[in-house]
Amino acid sequence: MNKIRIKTISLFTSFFFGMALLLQPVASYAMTLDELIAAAQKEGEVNTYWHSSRMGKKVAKAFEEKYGIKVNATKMKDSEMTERIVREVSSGNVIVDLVGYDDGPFLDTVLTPKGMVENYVPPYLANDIPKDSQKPLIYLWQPFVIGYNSETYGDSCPIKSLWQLTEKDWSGRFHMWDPRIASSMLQMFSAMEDRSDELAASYKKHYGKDLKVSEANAGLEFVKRLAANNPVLYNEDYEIAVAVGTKGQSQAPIGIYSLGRHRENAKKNLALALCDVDPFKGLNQPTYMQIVKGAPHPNAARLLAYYVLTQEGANPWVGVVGAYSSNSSLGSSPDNPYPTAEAWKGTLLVSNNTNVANRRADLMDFWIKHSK
Amino acid sequence: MNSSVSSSHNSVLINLKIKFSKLLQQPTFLIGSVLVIILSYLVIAPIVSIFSNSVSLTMMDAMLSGGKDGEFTYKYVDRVFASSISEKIFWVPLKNSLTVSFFATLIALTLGLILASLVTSTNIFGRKYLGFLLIIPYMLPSQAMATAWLTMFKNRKISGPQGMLESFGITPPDWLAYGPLPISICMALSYFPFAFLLFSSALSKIDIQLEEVASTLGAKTKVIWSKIILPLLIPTTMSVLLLTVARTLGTFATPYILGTPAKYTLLSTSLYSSVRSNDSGVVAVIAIVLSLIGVMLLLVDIWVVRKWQRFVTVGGKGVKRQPSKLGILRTPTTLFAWVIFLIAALGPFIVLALSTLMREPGNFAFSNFGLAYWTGVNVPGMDQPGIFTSPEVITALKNSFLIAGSASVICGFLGLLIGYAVVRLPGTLISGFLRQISFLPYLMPGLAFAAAYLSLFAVSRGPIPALYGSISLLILVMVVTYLPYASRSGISAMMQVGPEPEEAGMVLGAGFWRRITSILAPLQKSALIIAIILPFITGMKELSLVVMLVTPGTELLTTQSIRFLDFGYTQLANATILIIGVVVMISVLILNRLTKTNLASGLGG
Amino acid sequence: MSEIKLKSIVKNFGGNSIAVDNLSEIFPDGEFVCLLGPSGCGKTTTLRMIAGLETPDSGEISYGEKIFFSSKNGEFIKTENRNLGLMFQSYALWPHMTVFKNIVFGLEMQKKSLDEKEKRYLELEKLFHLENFRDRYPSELSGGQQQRVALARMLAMKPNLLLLDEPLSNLDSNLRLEMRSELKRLHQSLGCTIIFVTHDQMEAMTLATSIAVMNKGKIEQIAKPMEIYNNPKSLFVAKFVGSPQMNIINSDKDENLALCLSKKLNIEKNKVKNFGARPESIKMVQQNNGDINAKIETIQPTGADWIVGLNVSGKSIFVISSEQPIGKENDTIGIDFKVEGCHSFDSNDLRIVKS
Repeated sequence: MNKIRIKTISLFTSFFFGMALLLQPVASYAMTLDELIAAAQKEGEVNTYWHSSRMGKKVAKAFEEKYGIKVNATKMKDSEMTERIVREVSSGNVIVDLVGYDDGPFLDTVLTPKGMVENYVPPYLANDIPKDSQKPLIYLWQPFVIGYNSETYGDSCPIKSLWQLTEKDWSGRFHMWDPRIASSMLQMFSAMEDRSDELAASYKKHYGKDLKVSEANAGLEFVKRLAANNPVLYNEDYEIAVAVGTKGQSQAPIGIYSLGRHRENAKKNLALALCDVDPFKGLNQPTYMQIVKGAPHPNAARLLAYYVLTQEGANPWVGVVGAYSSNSSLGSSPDNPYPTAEAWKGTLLVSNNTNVANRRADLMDFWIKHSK
Repeated sequence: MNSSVSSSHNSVLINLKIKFSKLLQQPTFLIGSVLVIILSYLVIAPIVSIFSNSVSLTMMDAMLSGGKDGEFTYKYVDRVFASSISEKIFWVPLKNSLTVSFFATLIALTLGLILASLVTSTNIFGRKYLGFLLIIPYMLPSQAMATAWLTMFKNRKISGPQGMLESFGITPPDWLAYGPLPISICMALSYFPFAFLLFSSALSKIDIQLEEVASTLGAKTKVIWSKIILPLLIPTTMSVLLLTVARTLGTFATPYILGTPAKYTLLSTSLYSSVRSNDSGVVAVIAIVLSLIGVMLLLVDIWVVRKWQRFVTVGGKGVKRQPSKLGILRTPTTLFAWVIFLIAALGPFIVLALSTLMREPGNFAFSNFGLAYWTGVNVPGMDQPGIFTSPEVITALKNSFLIAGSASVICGFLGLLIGYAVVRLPGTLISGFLRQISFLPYLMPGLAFAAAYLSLFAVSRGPIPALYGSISLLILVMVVTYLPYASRSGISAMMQVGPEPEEAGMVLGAGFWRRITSILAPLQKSALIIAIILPFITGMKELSLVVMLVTPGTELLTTQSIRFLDFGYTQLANATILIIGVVVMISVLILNRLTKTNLASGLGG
Repeated sequence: MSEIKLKSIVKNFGGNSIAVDNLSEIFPDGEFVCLLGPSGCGKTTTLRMIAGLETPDSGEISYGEKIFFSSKNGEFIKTENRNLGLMFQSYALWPHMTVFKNIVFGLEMQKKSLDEKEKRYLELEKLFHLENFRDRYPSELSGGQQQRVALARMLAMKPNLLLLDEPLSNLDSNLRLEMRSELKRLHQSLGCTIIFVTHDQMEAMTLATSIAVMNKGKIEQIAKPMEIYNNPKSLFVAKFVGSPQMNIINSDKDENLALCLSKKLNIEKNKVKNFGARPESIKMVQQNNGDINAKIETIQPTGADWIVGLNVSGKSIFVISSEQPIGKENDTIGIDFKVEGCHSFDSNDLRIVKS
């Protein structure tokens, strides 16, 4: 009798044990935070490609101090990141674990449907992240704004309407990302198409006459005129900010860069200020956070993903001007013009991933064709 | 009937038996065959893949537009040659490339010829040193000249620290700071040493008796030069011309640094933009065009060389030309030569070095000097560690040595092996094939070759695992790209040795491996050293080939300097370039010390 | 008997002409054979095939019992195992090895002990007067010294068969004479078989115990040197051996002389295409006292004798005389032919042998 009982128990235990083994990949989603930390620590390190250098400079150090897990972070533009993610996944030689990625359109239309990335929403924070930021997971909103040099031009921006950027006066004096490299610019163009009417209205308001549209819509008309007005193109907005904000210039240019650059005003002796320009002050750029399929350190990647959504991990961004975490429970810097991303409302463009995906190739060619 | 069949069958067997025993005695054939297989894969496969990429739908486009990956399409050919953007991505860059090449070559050729004549044949001051000093620009990576130019002449059109002139209150106009003028000048100053070397060696090969005969017939120096020496230099001139054009067309760093701010696009930078925007079909098409231009130039060169062959004179008694007295012109010509040295070699060094030592550009106050950019833990205003404390630079330094080092060693040995097979199997298919195929990479621009390697070896193929993101990929692509130099020097080294030393060993009972190790290898020691150090130097300077293949952790010094430049950390970029220059120059000195050879023999390719 | 047997050797390098054309010959043991011929006649190829550095397209080469090569049964002995000595025109001394290393290389291949190497080296050093050169590199030696080192290297393993490929052609004339006697002495003292390739008939005449004159991949004649000289089988051999060259008189073009020689040799002129007369077989006599009259064109004294250019009814011939010529330039004299030095050749350029 006793014997039978022991046998039954051992049978049961082995059954559950076996089940547990079978379910393990699934179970990892349901890990407690402590379990996740333990699993991550076992992996020892995590590789990231990130849109921002703060991952490598700030987060990596704090994360390693806290968990003893080394973060190898490389700052990268999205076109390069796209290339690498696709290459790594299709070659089966995956190096990167977690990416902080700006190219939402590509993510939505290719990477996610093809299963090249895994959307991981830390279950411990699921309630704090708005549902519409969860699939795919947006971890950060960054305003990319039009800025000017406040030393040269004083308290008000030298332009009132975006259309002035297409005037001869500003030829060669608007600094921006190269649209061939940074998808943000294509996202901006697409969003401009979406909001053509406002652009046309702004033209009328500023010049007092109707815009003559020779392209499909006012958005395209603006892109065309901008391209033809000889803007200066960059790979990195660091350089744009320096070009715009360096003191002692009599003809300082205007540029578009991430609002976060304003935090460097003091440190680098710059005079960057936000342009209050009609109809849009810039673009609200969502940055997505995804785990790459077949990542060599999946648990460390999950832990890091969780970490940058906590106050401590998000602090390098949200602690200073220019970024909002998607974790609504985290505050933002008082230096921001608005306390939340939503509060900017219509003054910032927000692109529609599907529209961008449909239009990007054409927009790119359109841009190249009209560039001077 | 029957017997004749069996006897012919028998004779085939006997023939095979003889062939086999010959093979054992002299396994050159075996080596040659193995080389043929390896090289076919490493050289032909990328070329084939480039061609197929140009007409098949890329994975990226297939994903975006819903076609099938690899589907046949004229899309990219059309896009490059006949679409709404082809003018921007192809025709204008083509025109710009040709313009810049033309002027750069013209300047380089003129400088090279004048300086070579002065140094080899006149009594200008310091000719002994100039011979070496004037080659220095060739040892600097091509971005050295460009960044030095930028450091000097940049204006507010682009951001970053002030240019030196700007900080003195002079604002250089855009046309002087960016675009065709500085690109042509910088390229010319980087490539004239090549012309200088070739002309010097041609001048020293001209039989002095030819000139002596002329002077006994009453010709003055001036006449001798115009009627005898210069005409004899025509073949060299043509070669210099074509090869310099080919080089300038493939140069990436200079137009990238000096052309981008003015949106002055060359084919090489247009190619790079397409790479950066993941437009790999367009990359393939442009790469093919660049290669075809290369092939065309080479064919013209071959034709010219053949046409002028009757001009080639057999070397005289090796009597050195008596330097002719320049008289009143001695001082101005000396000045000219040294000024060129100053601008092309010393200038960049000084400008780059100064920029890394001064906190604020243009402020020569003593307090403004410091080593912050070199040793600082946190460079003011940059949020970056200095060069010697930067983990990125240290990794890049290690990688550069590792990658260029192993590639050059492999390349050197491979070159000698190819030389051996080619020279010892004269008249066979293998020999001809090896000779041609090892030369093929010469025709492909580095960017194009890298693109091919990227698409070819990103996934595992046959016995070769996926190499993407690995150091081996960089080594491999360097080996193949430098193979033309290595195999050429290997072939000529083997030609010079001839079969006798080996046969003498054979007669005395030395087997194949013994002959290789104790006779051939020691005999080829200096050829091997050259065949290793030259690719090493080139590898340390290499940018265009590797710029798209590096991944985080596999950055090289050259790509790191471009990264710094992208971020506007001009001083750090300059410091990195200085490190490359110093490493390369030390290598050259070692080469000179070890082999007592003139660089001319090796670089003349 | 360790004779070298060549059986129907054919070697073709591709191209128009055959390098070695169906060559069959036996070189007896202990002979000093000279392969003599103009460049491109196939003599070096023959030598290299014996050495095993080239393989014949067909045929058989054997040395004594050993079959070096046979296209019949695919026999092939590697060069390394043929145990022969070979000396190159360029000597092919290894520039990166000292004299000592060069010479004992073969012994090293046979894994001989240090003592043995040392012993053999000392013998050779003495034999070839190489004392004090032991640690020198080839580039630090004169041409003659290099040559002696090459000889010593070849002989270190005491091969029975020595193959020499124009070994003297890089030396100046004094040294050449010295080395010739050296080689002859060597052959006599070693008693081995030597095959020697040269295009210099003087060398062949002075050195060889038998000469094989080659032309267009074939051996035209093989015989003792004096036999070759006195009884050349063909016009080619006759012309190639002897200096100054034999005077050739065409029976059609040089009618007077030909008529004179046909009388002297007692042969019908129309059977003969060419007559040949060795310069030393012509004797100068007083005008009208000889077989025919001639005019003196040039006189070249060499010190030991005089080479006199004569004109006989429009045909220029050379005469070699150990006595002072009896006239001076433009004088007319008579000449006498010695029958032993005069030959007649038929339309196939073969010598007509009188029965």
